Formats: sequence, structure tokens, C-alpha cells
Amino acid sequence: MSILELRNVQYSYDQKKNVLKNINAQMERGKFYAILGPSGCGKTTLLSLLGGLDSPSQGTILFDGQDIEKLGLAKHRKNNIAFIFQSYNLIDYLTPKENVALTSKLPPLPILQLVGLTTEEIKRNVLKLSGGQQQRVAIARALASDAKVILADEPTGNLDEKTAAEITSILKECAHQMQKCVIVVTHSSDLAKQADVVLQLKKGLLQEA
Amino acid sequence: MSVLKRAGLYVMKNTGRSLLLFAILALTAAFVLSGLSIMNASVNTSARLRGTTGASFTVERNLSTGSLNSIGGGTSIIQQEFVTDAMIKDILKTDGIRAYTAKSGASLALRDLSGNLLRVIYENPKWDGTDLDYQLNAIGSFFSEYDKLFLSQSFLLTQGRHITDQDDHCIIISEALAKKHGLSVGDKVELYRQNWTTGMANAGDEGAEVEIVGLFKIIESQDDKNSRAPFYLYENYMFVSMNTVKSLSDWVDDAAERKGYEYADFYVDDPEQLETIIQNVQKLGSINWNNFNITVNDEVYKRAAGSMSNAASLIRTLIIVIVVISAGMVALILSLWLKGRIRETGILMAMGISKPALLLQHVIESALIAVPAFCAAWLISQGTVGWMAGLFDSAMETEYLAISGADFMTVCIGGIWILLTAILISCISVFRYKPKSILSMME
Repeated sequence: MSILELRNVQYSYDQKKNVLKNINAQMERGKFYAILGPSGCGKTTLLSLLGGLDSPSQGTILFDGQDIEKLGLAKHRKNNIAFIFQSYNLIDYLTPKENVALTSKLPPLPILQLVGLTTEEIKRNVLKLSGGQQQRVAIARALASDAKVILADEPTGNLDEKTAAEITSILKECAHQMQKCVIVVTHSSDLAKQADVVLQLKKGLLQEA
Repeated sequence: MSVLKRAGLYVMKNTGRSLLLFAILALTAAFVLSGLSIMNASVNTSARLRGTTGASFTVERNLSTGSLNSIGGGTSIIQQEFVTDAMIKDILKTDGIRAYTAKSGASLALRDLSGNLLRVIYENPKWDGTDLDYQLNAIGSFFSEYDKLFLSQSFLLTQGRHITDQDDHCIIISEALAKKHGLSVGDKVELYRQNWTTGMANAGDEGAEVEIVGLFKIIESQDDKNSRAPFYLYENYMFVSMNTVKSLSDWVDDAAERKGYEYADFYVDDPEQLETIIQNVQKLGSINWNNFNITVNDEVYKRAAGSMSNAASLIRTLIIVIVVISAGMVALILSLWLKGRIRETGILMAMGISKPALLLQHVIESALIAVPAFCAAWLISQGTVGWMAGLFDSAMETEYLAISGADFMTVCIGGIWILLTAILISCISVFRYKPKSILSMME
């Protein structure tokens, strides 16, 4: 059964030209999705709609069969969705542990260790961590929220090849071992190769590649 | 993580910002509290001045309308009616008069109860063996407290009490005279009328036992004391209950004609009402106002009240300026800080933290800084007020110079109102965007 479903979703910035045109798709738990597409095609917008950061111009998005607008977007974000951003988006004056604890429904320490941070790194200010370490903290934050869906926007965009591979591997584990629905927007073909389902966004339409 | 913990973490982790806001709030609040305290003190002092500066009017003989009376040898004296007890009684019926005094000077001597005449104080030996050896400058008084010598603070009552119109056989003498003769408050002595024609040897034909009810200290020093006759030295001044003076002297020099006083001073409750009271007094038909002048004595009040009023309005203006500048500064700082936290706001909103919860977090953050800042302001202003009490000691009643609970509450409520307004305005400018727009601003 799908955890997320898009039904006839359309989106336009100025009511003139639709960035997203009549999109229909279903996403399931335990799968790792990659959404590919050229820059400016609306990938991030699609992710924002799925995560309840914005509302579609037309159509509905269902979470576990329920319209997320009716659920309440803030509640949807809080209970069902976790975001991972390209620029990590950690609170810069807090430590990794405190960042994870912000929305944590699970104990932060084991999760931080699970994503590969040492005890010493956990106590540092996040700005003193490397990009890869910061992204691990962001993944830990997403996992600690115990959300069923993880939405990642270019999670490896700022990382070197080796670290990107490690992060991709962690995300894959999240989907397969923790039964999350992981949806990643990316330009990286390496990351897309690791996905269970690759979706292509072209001219406002979403198609399985 | 609870909103309280998030707010606490922000305050603790951003020490510089927290300390800056703390300092601005604490110093502003302390300044306003101190200012309010000075303003209240000046208002209270003004109110007290209205009752205590001794604003008065004087009713005195109008010598310009008196008739000339020849007393022989080519000398004439002006005849004019005196201010009488009956007149005083009539005037006292006017509303707003709380005290009066009339002066009746006399030259009297003191004897101890063993009959020994008490020598007056002087240093110049040229007065030895003269009639002036025992002459005291006796001032008959209804209310010695209102005598000009006390009001001008030339004298200060240091022991005992003042004489009132209810007293009889009471005197107040100088500390110096009391010390010279080993006298103290409560002691009894005999007051004698000086007989000018027969000299001191005959003094004592008329006398009265009196009680020393008070001692005064001389504050204003006299110039050229050596050349003054002992009678005119402050040490030899003596205040005597009016009835006693009357019974003893009966205005010795011109007893036949003189049945009253040269003048009488009337003290009013409220100097602001002085004009009205005088107008009412002048309407009294029992007094021939052609024979009397009325003069107003409210310079001290006007001077003091004027300076108090100027001080209060200066402080009021300063407080307004400081509050406006500080409020603007706090609002600007908070607004800039909150706008600088747009990234954090976007992250928290992406995590599903609602706008009201974020607003509450900002309010709690400010409260966590404001509460200790206001407590510090209380302590700082207490110290400042203590310091100012020394500074303004002679300018105002410093017992009024204190931080009141009501002022503290006003400052706290005002401060919280400014903070809440600043937070609300700043948040509205960020919260009107959708989370996606906020996140795009971050990129």
C-alpha cells in the first residue's frame, strides 16, 4: 500500500504556466526513490509539496490515504515527514545532539552513532564538523523524528565522491532496513543507480525512467 | 524538545546577544526607575512644601495713614492702631489658615529659683557692670515654630518642643545660655521684668516662674559680635509664651497706648490658596483696612516649588526620551536578530514546529532575559537612588527618594509590552511567508 500518493497534482508560481502538470504517483514504504530532472524543472517544488511546505495549485496529496491539507500541513511535517537538505540546514549554535533532539521522538545518541559520528563529534558545535559529518547529523535528525517518509533534496550535492557514497548507503539502509519511504531529488546518476525506483521529471510530467 | 528548552538553549548559546539585550533592558529600566523615583520625590516634596514652607501673609500697621502726635521737644510720633487679639481671632476664622504668630519684644531677665540673676553671654568686657549684664531679648510668641528666626533656619530647635498659643509660663533659650548656667529642658526659672528706670537692683518686683520647654542651637553666625550689645546677640535671645510676656511687660515702653502688636503673621495650609485667603481676609468688615497693610510672604515656597517643578519636568522629559530611544533600540535589535534567524525559522518550520510555537519561543527567550534584567534594574536603581539621596540631600526630601513597587511594576509591564510588540512586528514580517518561501530565502 502506498504511503504517499499524488493525484492530479498541478503547480504554478504565477497562475499562468504550470511547473507541474497533472502528476499522479504513488510511493511506498521500504523503497528508495530517486527523482531526476534538469535544473528548474520543478524537482524541489515537488518535494516541497510532498513535505507540506507548499500547497499544490490543483490536485491532492495523500498520506496514508488522507489528504495532507486536511491533516494540517504543520502537523504533516511534524509527524509524517523528515527533510534532508543539500545545505544540511542544521541550527548553527547547537551541537549535533541538540540538533537531533529538536524534533526527536527517539533517543538521539544511538542514532548519531548509527550514522557514524563519534562521541567527541557529537559534542562539538555543528559548524566545526565537515560537510559529510553535518549531513550525517541531518540524516540522524530525520531518523530521530521517526517519520515514515524521508525527503532529501540533493543530499550529496555538496559532498565528495566517497562521502556521497557513504551517505547514499545510509539512505538506502533507511529505506530497506528501517522501512522508510526515502525520496531523493538528485542530479547524481551514481545515486540514482542505487535507487529502487527512478522517476524522471520532464516538462512538468513525472515518469518512471 | 519543549519550547522552553529551545528558548533556554538559544539564550545560553548566544551569550553575546543575550548579554547585550540584558544590559540594554537592565540599564534602561534602572534609569527609568531612578527617574520615576526622583520625579515622585520632587512631587512629594512639592506637596510637602505646600504645607511646610511657611507661606504666609503679614498684617501690619499702616504707618503712612497714621496721625502725627507731638510728644514735646519738637518730636512727634506716628499714631496708628495696633494689630489686636480680637483682630487675630477674626482673621483666624478664615478658612485655610493653620497657624499664626505675632511678635512682642521685651527686655526681660532670668533668675534661678534661689534668686540669683543669670548673667547673659558676651565677650566684650565693656558691658561689664552695665544694665545690659542681665538683659535677655525676650520674644513673645504664639507659635515659636513660625518665628522668622526658626523659619529661616537661623535657629534650630535641638531639644524639647516649640511654644504654642496654648502655652503659658514657657520659655525656649539658647543652648549656650543653658550650658552657661547648667540649665536643661524641664528646669524652672524665674522670669523678671527689667526695670529700666531703677536699674537691675530693683528687678524682681514683677516676675513669673517659667519652665524651659526647649533649647535652640544657633545656625546662622552673627557678624561683628564684639561690637553688638549683649541684648542683640543670638545667644541671649529667648522665646516666651505670649501670655507670659503680656502679663510681665505689658509693652513696657508705651504701655498706655499700646494694646496690640506691630504685626501678625498668618500661615496658610496651601500656598497655592494664599491669594484667595488674603482676598477673604480683606473682606472682614470688623477691620479698618485703611489702617493696615497686608504683605505676602511666599518667596521661599515659590522658589522651592519652582525648582521642584523644573526638576520634575526635566526628569519627565528625560524619561520619555530615554524610553522612546530604548524602545526603538530594543525593537530594532530584536527585529534585526529575528530577521537574522530566518534560516532557523525555516528549519524549525520544516520540522513541523508551528508559527505560534515559534512566536512563543521568541517570547520566552525575551522573558528569560527580561526577568533577570528587571531584577538587576531594581538593584541598580536602589544603588543609584541611594547615591542620589546624598546628591539631592538639600534640594528635596530624600526620604521620598525610593523605588516603589508600583513604579517597578509599571516599568516591568512597559518593558514587556515593548518586547512583545517588537517580537510580534518582527515575526509578522517573517511568518507571512510560506515555509517553502522561507527555505528558498535561506538558499
